[in-house]
Amino acid sequence: MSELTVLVPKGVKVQVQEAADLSRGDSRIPADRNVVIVGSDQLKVAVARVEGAHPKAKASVVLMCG
Amino acid sequence: MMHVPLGAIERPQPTLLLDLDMPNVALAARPRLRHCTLIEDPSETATTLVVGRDYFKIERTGDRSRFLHLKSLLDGRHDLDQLSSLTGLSLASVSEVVSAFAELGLLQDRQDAPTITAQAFIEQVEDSALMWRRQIELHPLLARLASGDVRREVFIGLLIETYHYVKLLPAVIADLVPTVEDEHTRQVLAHYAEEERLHYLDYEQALSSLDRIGKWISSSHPTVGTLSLVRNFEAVGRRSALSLVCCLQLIEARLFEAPAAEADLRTIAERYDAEALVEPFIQHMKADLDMGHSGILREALKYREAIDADLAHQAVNDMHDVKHCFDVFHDSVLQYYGDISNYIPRPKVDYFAL
Repeated sequence: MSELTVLVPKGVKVQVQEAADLSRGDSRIPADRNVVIVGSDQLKVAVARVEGAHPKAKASVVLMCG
Repeated sequence: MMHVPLGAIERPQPTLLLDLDMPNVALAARPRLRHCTLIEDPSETATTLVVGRDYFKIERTGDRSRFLHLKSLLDGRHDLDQLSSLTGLSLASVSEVVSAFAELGLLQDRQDAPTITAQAFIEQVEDSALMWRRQIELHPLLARLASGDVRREVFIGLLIETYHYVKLLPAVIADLVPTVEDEHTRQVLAHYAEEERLHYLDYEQALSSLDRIGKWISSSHPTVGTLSLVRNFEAVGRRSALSLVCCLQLIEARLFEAPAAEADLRTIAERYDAEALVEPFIQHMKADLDMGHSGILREALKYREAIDADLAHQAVNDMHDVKHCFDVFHDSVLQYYGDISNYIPRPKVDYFAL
């Protein structure tokens, strides 16, 4: 699937997000869907444990060791 | 261009959420998120959540502010219906998010046990101390020093305020030692205070070499952020020796942290032409590691099998307060030393100054 056309009522704001994998591995997306519409009263999350590289501060604290 | 009939696209109906392949997780009636740090990249829809030593990535589809609002209400005071009505999110969405957190053990599992095993307590406190140390590092002061967008006085100010803190804290601990009831803990704290007592002299000597202001360092007065940090330690220690030891565990660097911390400090110092000034700070860290200060909690509790649950709750709450004292400490450095009209180093205000 390379393109989609989405028709919505006038005044509805549409945001488009790309997901890395729509078919598996993402609990936001049911296995049998290739398009997910989320209304303003809905929230979908995928939570996964991360191993290895983590977000890091730009500088470590060396000064606080007492 | 391919036209997709609306009927072929999933519609935002709550029942669809039930199609999700979510495990059947029993939800707490009033879910409460475990204590965590959220790290957000404004350019991403993903948020990193840190719980102890564990990192989680949260991919979100839906409104960011509603997600954060929902997170703010996962405090054990709201049931699912309330979470839905307060956030404007559908009940199905709320249930789904809470289920996702529950599945990975991110919701609190509160127990009524009167005691906690000492080993479990030590491991949990060590993990939480690491989490809070990473959180302290995220303060804008450190990022701004790393990128060099604050004036040199701010870095000098951080060194001066650290000098005050390293000078004041051991004296506070030494004063508290006689009030500690448990003999072994009293000995551990006395030993710690004695080993830390004179470290400030190396800092003082280095800072005294500063052109023009060096001779005023030893008679200068800390900012309120530094005083608040030290006085909070004092208040904590006066109430509970266990809390004091946990707070000391928070501030002591671990061996694996040392290389990056040293490299970062040297890089910042080089940027601000202050390489020689930071040498005693680095040597202090290494000396503390050699003396095993990062194992102070294990040492203090080595003869204990269990910890009273109320004391444990109090101790981690005190640690959390001290963690936030470091945020205030860094705020204070940024504010005071960033203001070009302020006296450096900060003098005491005496009667004749009025």
